[in-house]
Amino acid sequence: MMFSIRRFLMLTLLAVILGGGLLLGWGTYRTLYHELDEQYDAELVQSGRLIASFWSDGEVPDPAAVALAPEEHRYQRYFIYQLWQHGRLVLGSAGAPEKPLIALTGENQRRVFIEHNGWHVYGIALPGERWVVVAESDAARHSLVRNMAGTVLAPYLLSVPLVLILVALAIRWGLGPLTRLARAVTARDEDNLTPLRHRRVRELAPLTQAINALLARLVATLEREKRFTADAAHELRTLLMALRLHADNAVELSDPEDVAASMSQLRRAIDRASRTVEQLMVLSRLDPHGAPRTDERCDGAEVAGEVLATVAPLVTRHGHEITSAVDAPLPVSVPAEMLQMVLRNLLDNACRYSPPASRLALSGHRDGDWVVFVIADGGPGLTPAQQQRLSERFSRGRHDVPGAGLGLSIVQRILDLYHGSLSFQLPASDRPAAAEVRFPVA
Amino acid sequence: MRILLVEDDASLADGLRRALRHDGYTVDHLERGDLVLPALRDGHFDAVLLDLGLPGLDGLAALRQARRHQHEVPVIIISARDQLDDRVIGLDSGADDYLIKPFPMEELRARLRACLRRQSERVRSVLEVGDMVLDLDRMALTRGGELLALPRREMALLVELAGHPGRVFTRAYLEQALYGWSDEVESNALEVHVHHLRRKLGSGVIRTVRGVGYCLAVPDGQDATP
Repeated sequence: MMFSIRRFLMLTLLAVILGGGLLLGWGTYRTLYHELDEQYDAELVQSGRLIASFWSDGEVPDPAAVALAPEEHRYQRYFIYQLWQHGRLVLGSAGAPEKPLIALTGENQRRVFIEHNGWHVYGIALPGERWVVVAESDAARHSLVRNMAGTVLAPYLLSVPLVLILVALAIRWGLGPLTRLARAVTARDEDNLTPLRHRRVRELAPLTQAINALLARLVATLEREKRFTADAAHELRTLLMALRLHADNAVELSDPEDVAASMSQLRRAIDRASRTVEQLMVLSRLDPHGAPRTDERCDGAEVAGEVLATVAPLVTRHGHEITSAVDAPLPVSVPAEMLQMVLRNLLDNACRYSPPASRLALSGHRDGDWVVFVIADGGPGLTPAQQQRLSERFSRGRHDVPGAGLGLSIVQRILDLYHGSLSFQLPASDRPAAAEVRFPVA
Repeated sequence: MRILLVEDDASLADGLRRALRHDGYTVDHLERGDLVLPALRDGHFDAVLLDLGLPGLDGLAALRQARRHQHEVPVIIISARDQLDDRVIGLDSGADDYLIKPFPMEELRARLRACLRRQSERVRSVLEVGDMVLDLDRMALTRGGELLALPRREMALLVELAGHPGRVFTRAYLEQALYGWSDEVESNALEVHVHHLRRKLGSGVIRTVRGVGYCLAVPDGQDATP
């Protein structure tokens, strides 16, 4: 069964109320009983002494003088007395046994039992071997105590259902904001992610804030996904358009030069489409928000070597020259394939956007807690505005240079995941344009 | 017919230019949105094919700018933005048509012809001048039922002149209609084309208006304005 705050509160309060009632009843009973015992015992002693004062030596007292008339009061039958002289019962009240209620030696007062009823007995020794014994049944004081305790407890117990109803109402009222909050959250779905209204309930404020923060993140994520899908669709439409157009042209145009150009454009469009799809796959694999495993590391020098081998054909095709100066070993806190992707994309861009026959350089070294890779190229560098635009998906630096415009988004994504950073330097008189990547040292 | 193609995707622009040139259009190509207005100001275009996501100035902004400056050239938006909002905003900004990439070239051709027909206030794309029948859609010319094959620029010249028989077209206008920015124009190229047309169709077909330009001769009994 699920834990219920309402049930928990109801049961707890019920237990407290009933337990309190029992404790109160028990306490009342005990106190009353004790006080009444003393009071009754004192009265018993007084009654004994009173009877004794009416009994002069040598005469038999008048029963009417010492005792109340029979059944004059409802508590009367709980009281008996015996007058003993020389071991002989001189006078006894109605219902008094023929035997002494106590041993007739000295003055004493004690409790004895007659026919399972408890009796308080008090005996007074008088001159001339006379004894006055008075006794009172416990039943009297018991019933009185019970009546009194009942008088106190009854209203209390009678009020329990009413109290419980009020408590139930109070709990319902108190939990109302929670119920409304639950309804408000239930009403949210992918089409309605508006923040929850802030409620003036201190206990719910952290919950509302947490849910709103979650909603905001969800909205941002959905927005990003939507934009990405729209961007991807836009890019793919354009690619499809180019494929179709060049294919049609290759079939329909008559000029041989046109046909040849269309075929070559078609081939390039297919290359671009493949590259775009490949990079989209990479991005979609990088996009899940699961935190990356931070214990992954690699040797930067080794990865740089592999990347240089991969981009060599591209470098040659553009007539560039590339030099490399990477300290070895260079432990970096990023998985090898991710570092490879970053360096390859940046070198790729350096090749594509540098004028033909440029000098490119890749260097890597440790700088405190960071591993720094610098890719210098012969290009014009990137202004801050261009950098901003370029990290957007499908944005391309120059439109006459083939590419899908996804490279830097991928780089940026990897940097975000592995706590790296990227900066660009504009060319100056003493140094070329460069991209600088930093990753935490392993 | 001269068309301004504004498209920043080099590959797509190349394909469109080739396809349209094959159809007999003269195509000039721009990559930047901010160059659209200067281009329209400097020369005559019969239609504009306009992409939306352009560097320099967004296609929509360029379109509004052109309309604000009273350029009434037909504009067909070609874009990969396919949302209803995009299309409505595009048309409301002054576009005559909106084509979503990828579209078949056939559709672009048909929509382009429709735009040009509306522009010249014609309802049919077949022009009859004398015994010549010129099908503008197929760029086909028949004379007395026989098909006459003409080179691309001669056909383009004839189409321009036949658009408004009897109206005099200036040399500058005709040269622009026949040659794009990237084409080398010989100083006497227009005369050469006119000469060839006259030889093929008869010397009376094209009349020279000295110092001004050329016009298509209107045979007797036909209205000068179609």
